[in-house]
Amino acid sequence: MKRLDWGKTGQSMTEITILLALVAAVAISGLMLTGEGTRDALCRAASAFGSTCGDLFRDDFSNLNNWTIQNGRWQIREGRLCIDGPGRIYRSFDRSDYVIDVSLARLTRGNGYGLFFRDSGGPKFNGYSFQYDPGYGRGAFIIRKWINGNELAVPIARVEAPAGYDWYGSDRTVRLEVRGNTFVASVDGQPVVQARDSSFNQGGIGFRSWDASSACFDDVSVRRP
Amino acid sequence: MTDEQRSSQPPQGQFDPDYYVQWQPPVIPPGQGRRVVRIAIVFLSGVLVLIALIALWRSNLIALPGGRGDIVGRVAAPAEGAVVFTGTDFTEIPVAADGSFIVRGVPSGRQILYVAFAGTAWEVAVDVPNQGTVDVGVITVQPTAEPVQR
Repeated sequence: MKRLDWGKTGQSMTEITILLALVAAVAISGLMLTGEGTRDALCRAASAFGSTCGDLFRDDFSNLNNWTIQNGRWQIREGRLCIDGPGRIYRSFDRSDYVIDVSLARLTRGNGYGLFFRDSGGPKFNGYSFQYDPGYGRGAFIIRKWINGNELAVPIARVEAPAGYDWYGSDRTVRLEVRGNTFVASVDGQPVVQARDSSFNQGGIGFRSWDASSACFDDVSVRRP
Repeated sequence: MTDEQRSSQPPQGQFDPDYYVQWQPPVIPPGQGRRVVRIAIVFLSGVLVLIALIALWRSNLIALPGGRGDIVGRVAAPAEGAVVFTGTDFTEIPVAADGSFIVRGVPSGRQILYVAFAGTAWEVAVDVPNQGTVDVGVITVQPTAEPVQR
């Protein structure tokens, strides 16, 4: 390879090499900075040609092999993940941005259930949770931040549910879009609460329930946004 | 090297191995393209430096050269068992029997102090002085900060 000489005319191979390296470095670091990731960008481009590489994880709860039970009596009932009473279950992910879809979430009784995201795992975890929470005030959809395994007393976002909202017994779909510092939760296709926070940049997913709640979930999937 | 060897076209009607051995890419005439490439190199280098600075700022490491300080205060909780920690070091420090605490060696600048009690945490924004101590006073914690139907 020729040495870079700024005094000479003509195009040197070194300059071309530096230029190409810089283009690659700027592209990759820019994607990382925006939370996109090189693989995500390639995947997004490939999806235009019918590729399904957006899927990161899918579970129909035929067993609990993909999950770590932190606490609680989690069990599979009729092909669904169910819990009676307080509990927390976790699945690790080394990712920043994703969309979580739960095709069935049913609260039978109690104060609610939660869906963790950017969860660092373990008993002293950091992360966030979206909560379907009829026990909060007069019933609300909230997003909480967790630090060292403790939930912050004040949610980072809270939207009261409409009066007369039917919290119990209905099979609902839940979607959680986690992108950069913005989190949007939807129930039955309708956005219900949105939050912004930059404390935690990546982590896994999970479910929780508390007090005397009884809840079941089925068909969870995680895909690239 | 002769002009024929520099030609972009191989010799007509015959295979000459020397042509392929000695072939070199055509040289762009002076003034054409090189200036643009150099400007692009300088511009992209600037963008790369900017991205690195943004990443450094986001990582909070930029606060480290500013030094460190201590946080003192007192937690008023319904019972014993409260702990404190900061957003830069999640090591929990139990508060004393009288509720007092001291967190040493916190990076100076705006930091978040967390007080945790019975599975619930409260956050307090603190401006930590360099080589100094800040007193956050009394932090009162209650298990239910919001009215909850339980």
